[in-house]
Amino acid sequence: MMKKISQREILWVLFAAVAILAVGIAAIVYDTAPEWKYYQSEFGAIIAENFADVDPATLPSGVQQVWIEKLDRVDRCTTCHLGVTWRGLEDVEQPWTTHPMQEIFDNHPIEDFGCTVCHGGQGFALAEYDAHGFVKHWEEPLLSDIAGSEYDPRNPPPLYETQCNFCHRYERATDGMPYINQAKEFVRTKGCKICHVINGDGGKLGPDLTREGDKHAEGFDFSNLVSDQVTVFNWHIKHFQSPPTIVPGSIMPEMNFQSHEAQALAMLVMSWRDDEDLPRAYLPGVELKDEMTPEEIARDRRMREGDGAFFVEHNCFVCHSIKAYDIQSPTNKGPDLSLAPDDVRARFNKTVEEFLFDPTGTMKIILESQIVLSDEEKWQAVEKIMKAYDIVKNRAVEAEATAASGP
Amino acid sequence: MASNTIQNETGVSSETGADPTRRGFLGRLTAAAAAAGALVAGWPLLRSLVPNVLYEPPKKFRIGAPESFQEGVTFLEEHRIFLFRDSSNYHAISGICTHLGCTVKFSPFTLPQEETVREFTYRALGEFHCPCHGSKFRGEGTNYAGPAPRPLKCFHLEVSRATGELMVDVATEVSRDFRLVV
Amino acid sequence: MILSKITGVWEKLTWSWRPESNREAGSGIVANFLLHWFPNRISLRSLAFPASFYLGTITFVVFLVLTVTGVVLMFLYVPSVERAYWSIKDLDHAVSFGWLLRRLHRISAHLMVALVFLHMFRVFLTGSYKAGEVAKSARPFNWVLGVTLLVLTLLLSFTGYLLPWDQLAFWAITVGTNIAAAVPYVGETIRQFLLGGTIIGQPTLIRFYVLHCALLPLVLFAIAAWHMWRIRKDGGLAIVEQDRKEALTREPSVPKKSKTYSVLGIASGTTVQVNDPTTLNEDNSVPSTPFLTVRILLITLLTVAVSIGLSLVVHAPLEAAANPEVTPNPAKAPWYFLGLQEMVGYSALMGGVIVPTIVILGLMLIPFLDREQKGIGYWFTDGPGRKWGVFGFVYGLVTTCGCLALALLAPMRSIFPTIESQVFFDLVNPATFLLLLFAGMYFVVLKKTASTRYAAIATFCAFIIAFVILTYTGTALRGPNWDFFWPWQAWPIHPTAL
Repeated sequence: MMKKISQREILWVLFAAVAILAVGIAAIVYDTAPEWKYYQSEFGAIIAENFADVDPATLPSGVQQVWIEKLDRVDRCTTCHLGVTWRGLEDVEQPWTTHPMQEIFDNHPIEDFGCTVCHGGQGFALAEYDAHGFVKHWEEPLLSDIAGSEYDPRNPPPLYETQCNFCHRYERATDGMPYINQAKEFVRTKGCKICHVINGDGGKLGPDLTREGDKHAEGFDFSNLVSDQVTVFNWHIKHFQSPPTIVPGSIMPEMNFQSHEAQALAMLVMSWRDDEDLPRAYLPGVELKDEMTPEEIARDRRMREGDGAFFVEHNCFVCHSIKAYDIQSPTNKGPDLSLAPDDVRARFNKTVEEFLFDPTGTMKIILESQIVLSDEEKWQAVEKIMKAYDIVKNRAVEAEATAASGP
Repeated sequence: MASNTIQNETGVSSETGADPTRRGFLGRLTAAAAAAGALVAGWPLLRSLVPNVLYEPPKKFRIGAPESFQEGVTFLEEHRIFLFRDSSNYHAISGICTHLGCTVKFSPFTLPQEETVREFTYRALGEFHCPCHGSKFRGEGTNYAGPAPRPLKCFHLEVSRATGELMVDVATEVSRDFRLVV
Repeated sequence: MILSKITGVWEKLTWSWRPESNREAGSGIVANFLLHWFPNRISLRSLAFPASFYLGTITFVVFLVLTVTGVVLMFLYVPSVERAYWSIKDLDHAVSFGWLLRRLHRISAHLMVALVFLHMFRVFLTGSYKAGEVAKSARPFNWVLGVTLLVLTLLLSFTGYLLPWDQLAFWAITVGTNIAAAVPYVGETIRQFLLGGTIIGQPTLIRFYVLHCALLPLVLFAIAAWHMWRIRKDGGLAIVEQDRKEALTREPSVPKKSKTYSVLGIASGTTVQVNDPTTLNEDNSVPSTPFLTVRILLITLLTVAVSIGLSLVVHAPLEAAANPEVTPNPAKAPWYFLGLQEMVGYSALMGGVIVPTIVILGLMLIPFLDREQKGIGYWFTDGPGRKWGVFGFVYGLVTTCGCLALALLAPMRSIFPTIESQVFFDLVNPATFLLLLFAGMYFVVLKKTASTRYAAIATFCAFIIAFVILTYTGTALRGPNWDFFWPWQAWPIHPTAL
């Protein structure tokens, strides 16, 4: 008697197999239809509308990523925010629009900065909700108007300025940061340093604020903050407006800050974070050059901005001084160019112009490899050298005249 | 074990105990040597997993000039230490709860209070509360509520001869009445 | 033409499933892994769902899912303190199906821990740890192997928990390793050996990684194989003892000659099958192929389907990156340790060391303390067994809630404010009370029924309910500052930066 498997069992196996197929297909579908595909295809349509001469095949497709190794950040915002580096899309809506504040954006190229270092958000993510960072446990949400309008619906504070100040902290005032600039002015005029150490010096009556922006939310006492927004930012705002309300027993004076002033101060304080790991290339105002005396600095400026700037720009001054323009060479390897017409005729039996276009010796090597001038530039050089020659000759004549008309 | 035994030539059955012949003794000696050899070979494998050097922050470190600390209590976040200053008297209490290692919070009193805990009188600025399981400690570190089994540690303080800064030594514990006078 | 070629190849490859001669049938058993693993015939009693609910099978399938997803994850995860967290972020967002791998791995891990417990409950309540009277099996030893597998599963889950290196991971392991440090004298040494130093850092991460990905899975696999081999050696699921008893009432037939095989040639005595009379016949059993193989296939497919289905809806959490300076509030161990953490809140020594040790040892000793052999394979053994089971549940419910209430309303340190001795509070606390109440109940029931089995049933059921209640309390009813919140009470808003 051969028993057979019951039909019910076979049906169950079929059901299980179909179930696996179903969930498997659901997983595959979920993964292969991400949000950004829609935004990229729409971008194609927008470009076709606005720029007829652009070949749609050259538009970015797939996940876009900027990896800034120095800052240890990876930003994938440009997967959807496709228009940021384009000009001419200012009137298009988000996420395809051109980046506003073009001048500032040009000074902070995306390959060196990415996006999240200024704007916050979760650069890793590829879906809007996750990327904008208003998810639990992500501690750097997008510093957008939406976040700002939680604090002031009519006039949302530009929260991204907090991030600007992380690098621009030691500057007195910076273009594009009106709130922070005002807050820094307050720090100078309201006497904060009497009680608090700020940026290296100050008093000890109150806590050291040098790294106040790093203080974790768990470290604040919110028990006196009567508000729906249990946030550190709100704590600072309310504390600036009335310190004894938030910290009972506090001797910090009430200084009658208006709400946007308190917001600016809160933004400033939260920008004060540990910047020890900031690569020096990102610190504004740091120049990696030899130290110069004030006279040398002044002279340097004169050289770069005066009539002889051409010879500084093209590095001629490395070997040649030009006393007519007060250009001082650091090496004086070559002769003074103010006297070039005489010098070149004497040595090579050519005019300056002939020599420049057909050099010999060291100059041949230099002009072929190190300092390559276009024809236009060579004529400019000739003109300036001739002018320098005239200046020197005139000075000599004047000097003789002055000497002759002496006693 | 299979119950067949091989009778040896002298007719002595191994059922009555260990083989008393020289062969038997040598066999047992070899087994013992092999076992010892295995242990010796295994020792390096285990010992290598006990580190001789640690990539951890030093146990003795400088925290800043004595004058740079405000009166009262300062929490040094990265070291998890509370530094107390009373004009020129300094002492340091660990911020690590003795129960399961969470960082305790300092809960200040509105006004400092004179307290006597275990026959030690001092001026308490507040007390310590641990957020993890509700352990509580008095201002000098003694545990009085919750599951913490021991008081908070007090660490040795000294002034660095090189720079004049305060130095904490978390590897050296001191009693709770220790004060560094600068 | 091509189709016939394909079917031709298929027929050649699957010859062992359709032997055409006795010789082929014999070769098939050796050549085919499943046919070798499974017995020739399987008793109808074992095959039935209620006998085991196939919990052991499901657990093993989940372990295989964990292994497969785990190996793939090893290519994508970086075990360095600087990069671990970010590699998991990338898994969640930038790796194709990374989210699926991660969720599947995590849900399977939690499922496996839960299933291992359920399997243990089933084996205990059906008395399947008993050796049996007809033929002495090694089921008591196999039960000890099972408890070992439970500990290994918990260790695997614990080591894996650290790997994401987020706040949840870092502080759960801080709590867990500090519990280990509560062992007297050697506790701190154990803790430092686990951590590879004095703090949780890179050495800790790499140690846990190697344990989690290499050492523990190998050991678990080996012992699981031994565990399943023992089942075959003992003749199948314990309920087969009932078939054996029935067989005794029948005419004894000529005993089958058969050999005793062993692993590495180390075997004690002869196999059960060699000794016992013919148990399985046409009436009480069916051939394993196809009945058992199809059933196992069904269980496997359903388990995988449910696992993947759950991964579609249940997210794998990832909190903020690990920050040694900031303790999250509350800081909790993984859920299967939260019952422990609740008791550790009363006393680290009692709740963290003594009670778990007694539980593990107690579990391992069950088959040696309870030698009764009746009702093997039946849930709760019999009618009185069911009654004592219910009694155990109720008793456990009342005592656990009572000790919890005591802990909440009358903390020991506020009842005895003048006592400073830590040893006193390690001995006098709700965890000790619970332990003593359970131990007391065991002896009272033993005295009343003169049956170790009924006493064991009552105690075990009390243990089950205590475990569930304490775990639930630690998970859902303890909020910030470890304060008690009823399920309907909202926790205070968690502060954020912005």
